[in-house]
Amino acid sequence: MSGIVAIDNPVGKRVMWTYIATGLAIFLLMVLVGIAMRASQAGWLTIDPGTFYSLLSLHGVGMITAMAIAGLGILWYLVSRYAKMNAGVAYLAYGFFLAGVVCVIVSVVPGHYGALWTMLYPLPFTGTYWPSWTTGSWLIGNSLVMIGFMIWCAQILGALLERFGGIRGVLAIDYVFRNRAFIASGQEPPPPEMFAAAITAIDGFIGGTAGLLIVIAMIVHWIDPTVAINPLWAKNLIYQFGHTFANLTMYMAVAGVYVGLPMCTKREYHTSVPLAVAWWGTLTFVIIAYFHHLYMDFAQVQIVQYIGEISSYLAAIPVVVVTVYGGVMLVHRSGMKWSLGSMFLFAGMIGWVVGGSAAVLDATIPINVDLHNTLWVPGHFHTYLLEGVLLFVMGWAFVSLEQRAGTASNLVMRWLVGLGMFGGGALFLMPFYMAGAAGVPRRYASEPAPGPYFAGIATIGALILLVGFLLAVFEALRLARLKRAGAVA
Amino acid sequence: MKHVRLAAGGFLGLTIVAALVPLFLGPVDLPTAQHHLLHAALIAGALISALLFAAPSHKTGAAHYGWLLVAILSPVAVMMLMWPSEYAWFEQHPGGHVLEHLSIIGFAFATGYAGQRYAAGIGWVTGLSLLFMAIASAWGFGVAPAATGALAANVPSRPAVASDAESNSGPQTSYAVPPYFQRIARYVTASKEPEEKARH
Repeated sequence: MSGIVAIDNPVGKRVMWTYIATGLAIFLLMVLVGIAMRASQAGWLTIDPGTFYSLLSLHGVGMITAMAIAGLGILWYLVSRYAKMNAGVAYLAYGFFLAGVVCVIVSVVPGHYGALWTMLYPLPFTGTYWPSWTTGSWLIGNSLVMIGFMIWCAQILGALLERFGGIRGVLAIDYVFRNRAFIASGQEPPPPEMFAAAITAIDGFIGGTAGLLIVIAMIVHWIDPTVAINPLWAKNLIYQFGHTFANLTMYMAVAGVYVGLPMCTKREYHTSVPLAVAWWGTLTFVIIAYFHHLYMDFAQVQIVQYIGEISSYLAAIPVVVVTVYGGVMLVHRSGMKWSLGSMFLFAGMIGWVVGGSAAVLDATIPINVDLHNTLWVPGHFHTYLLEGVLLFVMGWAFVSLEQRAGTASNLVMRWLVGLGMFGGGALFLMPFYMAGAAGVPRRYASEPAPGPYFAGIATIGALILLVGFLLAVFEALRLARLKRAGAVA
Repeated sequence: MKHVRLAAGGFLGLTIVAALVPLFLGPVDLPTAQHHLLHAALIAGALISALLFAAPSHKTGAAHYGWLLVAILSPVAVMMLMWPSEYAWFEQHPGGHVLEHLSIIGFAFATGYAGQRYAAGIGWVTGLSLLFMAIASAWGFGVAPAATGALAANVPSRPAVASDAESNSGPQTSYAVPPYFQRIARYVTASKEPEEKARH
């Protein structure tokens, strides 16, 4: 394992940009859907409830998939710098993702599916206002995404196991428990981003297994309604997959911080014992933290409610503290120049901390009693995704483009994008928290007061954010063209 | 290496013998959960033998991605074979039951073997994933507490498709093929919409 060196991989870069571009394109589409829904809740736009729930279903599953696709592209490239990887497998997984997205869109747009991403049994089958084939298309679409994800996870895990000498090497077990002997033998632990890849692959495969099982059971029920499903069993499996998949989007994207921030600061981000142990915490607890989604399911065995609360803390806090502390130490007195790339990466760490704190608060049982299923919940995961995962993805993309072009964006552009993405983002997110604290329920087409008031503010914030995002996209395209022009010259 | 191959062959042989048990027992009537768990035992046997058989000679970067595709899709096929409402038919038709078992063993073997051929360790991952699905099925796939409220509304008061009436009629039914083939065929040719609307 000695002499772990990253090798630039042009094929890996193509895979990465394909994934990132696809993820951001889906993201843009979902932002438009989201703005329409918030405007409708504000009373500024008329969307009938049936259409609203269809759009909400699309928005929920689409956003997570968009961020996951972008994050998976980054991780794939980063792993390909160390291990031999077959790009064909990455495109095979990509094909499954695309086919799944198409099925989901078909089920929502002509089909009017509206039982949300959670598709909790028996909602997609009972009292529906959409035809039966719609539910089938939704379930098949989800299963295709899960299969694509499991193919991706298996490929990454296989590559890591081979490159770092099995699971002991991948998780740096000897580095932690026999540190002196390990260092004395001249070996090196895997670089930090490889932990993100390994944890995503292992926990992702576990989540994919749970997701595939419940989707297969529901497809069977869809074809043959006499096959009963245990609703509590179904909910456990759905949230095991859903929570894990959504949570992992952050760990996919955080790999970009481990590599991108050192590029900006000209310092190295080393693997340390606390970093490895923190990632073990994430590995272990992410897959059982989902129990916090079932606090109100009183048929659930009581002990798992406590496990859910403790795991929520242990999955997130160690890795956030170690990563963010390490990131801040890298930046501190480094003389780093602020560019869009470094801005996004740094602000993403703030978004991760804020969104994560709001999540952990909500996972605390006495607080959850008040916040359960209020707008606080979308508040935390929108913060996590929008001001965390998205910023890491964009940060990594901009750092890569700036390195390629040998230049950065000017001050005016940085201010405009910053105001849009961070200012608009804050204006969009704060109303979720405030309305949630006021007890406004989530997942309703029309909300009680003060929901509509906050929805109006959020709509304005989202529009500003959209402008900032579009400016950033244009700036990214400009930087990409600069390189091409340079290459021709 | 030879000993490993022998052990692998032994495990596979034992698993196949276990799969033939319905031929000796004749028609049986098992609870769905128990039936799932017995299938899980067959899967475990097939997986152990596959993992012992597979020598991970290929490197990840060079291995054909077809191995990975087989390893990921085979568990889906196994779970489809564990279609709970078909157990009643298989339990009354030992020949079909054995064929079902052999198919499950074949796909489970493919899961472990193909995964391991793709990359060392992946056969274990895909195999454990399949085993988890088979065992976990016993707690919810075709197994549910008595339905009340909204759930009761979801359970059809009469079979939702025409062939259900026949397939639910017990040991005396005899089809050339398991009823789900007929059910799927009818499903794709006839829309269920009118029935669902009537129910709601």
